[in-house]
Amino acid sequence: MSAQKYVAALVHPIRLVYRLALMKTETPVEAHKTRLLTFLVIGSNVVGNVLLSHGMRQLGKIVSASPLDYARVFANPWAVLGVLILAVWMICDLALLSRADLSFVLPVTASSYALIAIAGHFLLRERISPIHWVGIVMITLGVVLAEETPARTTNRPRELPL
Amino acid sequence: MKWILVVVIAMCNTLGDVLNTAGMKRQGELESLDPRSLGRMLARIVHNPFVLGGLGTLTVSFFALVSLLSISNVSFAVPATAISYVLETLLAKYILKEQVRWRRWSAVTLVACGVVMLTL
Repeated sequence: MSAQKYVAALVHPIRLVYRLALMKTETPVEAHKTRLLTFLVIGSNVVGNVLLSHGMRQLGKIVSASPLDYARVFANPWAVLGVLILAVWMICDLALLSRADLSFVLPVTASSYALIAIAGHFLLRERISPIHWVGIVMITLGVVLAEETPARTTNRPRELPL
Repeated sequence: MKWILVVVIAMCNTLGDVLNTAGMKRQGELESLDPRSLGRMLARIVHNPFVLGGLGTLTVSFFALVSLLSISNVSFAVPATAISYVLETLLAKYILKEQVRWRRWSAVTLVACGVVMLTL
């Protein structure tokens, strides 16, 4: 891959997600922003992890506790893209936490675990065992239950605990 | 050594998420997703001791997880994940004063069990 294509491949998905976000934020309802942020958190987590996982597999097994050995990750474009998207995930997660309860964000964003398993199955040809399917169903039920509660139950003013 | 790492991961995860939530709530809601608001949010995070502390503890937790995975297999990280979910919800209820009723408790329990099963 030439350097130019490499940069384009890195920038393009970020711009796509960004445009999507801008389009949707024009809706007047505040709840939609929280919902959109939730989708962004889940989506970036899944895409980032699948890309990183794909890149790591190409690199081969790293058996080391030294951070220097993990620097090799930056030699693989898939892994680099994965790390970049995970950085976007962290920012979206903080943005979501500014609007919603931790006890809401925690179960709802856990759907990324189920989606990562399913994406791994279809994209990276990983096997899903029966016990994994039970786990996926349980997570889905938990997410549905949590989504029925209001996203924020604390006060908006500055007089907050802690 | 393994169990020390499990405890470190669970503690740092929980502390990190609680600090991040407290910090972001103090900083105020992100109004919209346009570049300016996001930039302002990031600029304020740099001066927000809560969020900086939260990100720091999450980094410690990440490296603890990496070293745990290098000396044992993935299933050993399971207790850390499960404990974090329960602990974080408890702290969200009693320290962050969020309303955690039966729906959220059952949701967190289901999710924690489901995540454990996925790593088995």
